[in-house]
Amino acid sequence: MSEYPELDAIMNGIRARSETAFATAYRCTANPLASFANGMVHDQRFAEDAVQQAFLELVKAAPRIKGDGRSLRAWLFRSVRFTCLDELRRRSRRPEHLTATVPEVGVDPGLPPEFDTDPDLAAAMSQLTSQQRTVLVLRHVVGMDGSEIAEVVGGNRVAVYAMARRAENRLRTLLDSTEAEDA
Amino acid sequence: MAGNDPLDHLSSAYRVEIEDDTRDRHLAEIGAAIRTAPPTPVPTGFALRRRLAGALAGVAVVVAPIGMAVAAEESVPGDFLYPMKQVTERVRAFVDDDIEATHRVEEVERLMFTRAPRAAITRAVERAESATGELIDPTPLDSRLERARERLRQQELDEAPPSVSGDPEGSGQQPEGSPSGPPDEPGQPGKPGEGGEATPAPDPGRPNTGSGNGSSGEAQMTTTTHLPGVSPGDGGADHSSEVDPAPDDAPPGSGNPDASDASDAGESRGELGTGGRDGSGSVNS
Repeated sequence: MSEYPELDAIMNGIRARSETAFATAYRCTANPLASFANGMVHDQRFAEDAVQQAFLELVKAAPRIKGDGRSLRAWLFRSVRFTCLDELRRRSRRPEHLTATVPEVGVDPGLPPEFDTDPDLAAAMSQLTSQQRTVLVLRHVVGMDGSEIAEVVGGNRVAVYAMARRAENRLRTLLDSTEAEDA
Repeated sequence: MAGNDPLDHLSSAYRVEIEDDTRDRHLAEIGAAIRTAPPTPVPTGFALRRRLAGALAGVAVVVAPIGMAVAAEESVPGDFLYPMKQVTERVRAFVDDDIEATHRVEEVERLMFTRAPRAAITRAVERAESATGELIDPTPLDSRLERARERLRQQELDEAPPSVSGDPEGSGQQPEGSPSGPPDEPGQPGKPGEGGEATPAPDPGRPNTGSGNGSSGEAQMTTTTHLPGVSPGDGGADHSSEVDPAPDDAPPGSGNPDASDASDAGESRGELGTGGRDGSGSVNS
């Protein structure tokens, strides 16, 4: 089957809406999903809600879910991705909210101490396109390979690699320029 | 930090560990959603009806053309479904060389059976002739077509007399001109002389004598021009009813015709038949 044997084993339970199967799926995927959402929107509270939202949608769609554990994982990531894109669009329409949160990055009192994100990194990330950010986060935070990313964002493996390389270069350039300004 | 690749920090910067109480809250809500979720994924109500409607539509799309093609088999030129018949015919012609000619001959027979207008039958006969002409072995169809042609001629002759006498004389003359009893009796006295010769000119004129010469002349003209072969028989049908039986050899050919007064008319028809056949045959060839 796929590289997620635990998820493969519960697919029938998911389709039958078994509560234990959903608990297993949550245990296997909730943290990567939340990390992905956090990388996209940079809001841990929202990231947790997005994970919750994805699983509630999965309850509705469960009987129609096809494939193995890998497909289920990709389905959940797609769901979170759309939730995040909606949120980003919503926030960009209300810039006052955006300016209220962006300067707080890294010093958000709600975040535990290990999450004091480098403000330069956050600023650079916010200048990438949402597609570039998606690919970067899935690759470097979640640790997906090219074909898995392609399943989430669409397109094929080669296109994903090209997109990732361009995003990485852009991020490095942005960080270098901010470092130069600091110095 | 400056020396490291910033991408290495991405993971630590954004990684989220969902805490236990948050997880428990999520799982509880997911469980509630599962319990309130519709238990049956089997489509019901509108969804089911929509699927059934889709299936029915699919069946209809397949069945309707078949039904139309079958119904079109019975059609004749001018019918609503006749183009459909022509299409299926073209397809069937790939496996059946005779199909076109067979259809044309069938159409002639059907048109005659339904007493279609003469013009339509004539056109159908022409089509059938050209279709059978292309066949390698047209014999069986030809004989059917020949039978149909013969019946057509028969009908033509049956209907010809009233149309000829009716046209020039108008409505006032019609009761006298009809081939029944009354016109025969005035005709009888002069008949032996004229009827024996069966000359075309005086016969149509005879019923008209009462009305006038001008109309009789007209009648003569029309009969001679329109139906040269028919006119002598026309006279016979009108008034030479008693003379005819003796010289008439034709009756066997016209055994079918109708009742009482037809005994005379039928015999005269036998004469007419040969005359008309010769006439139309010469026209056709």
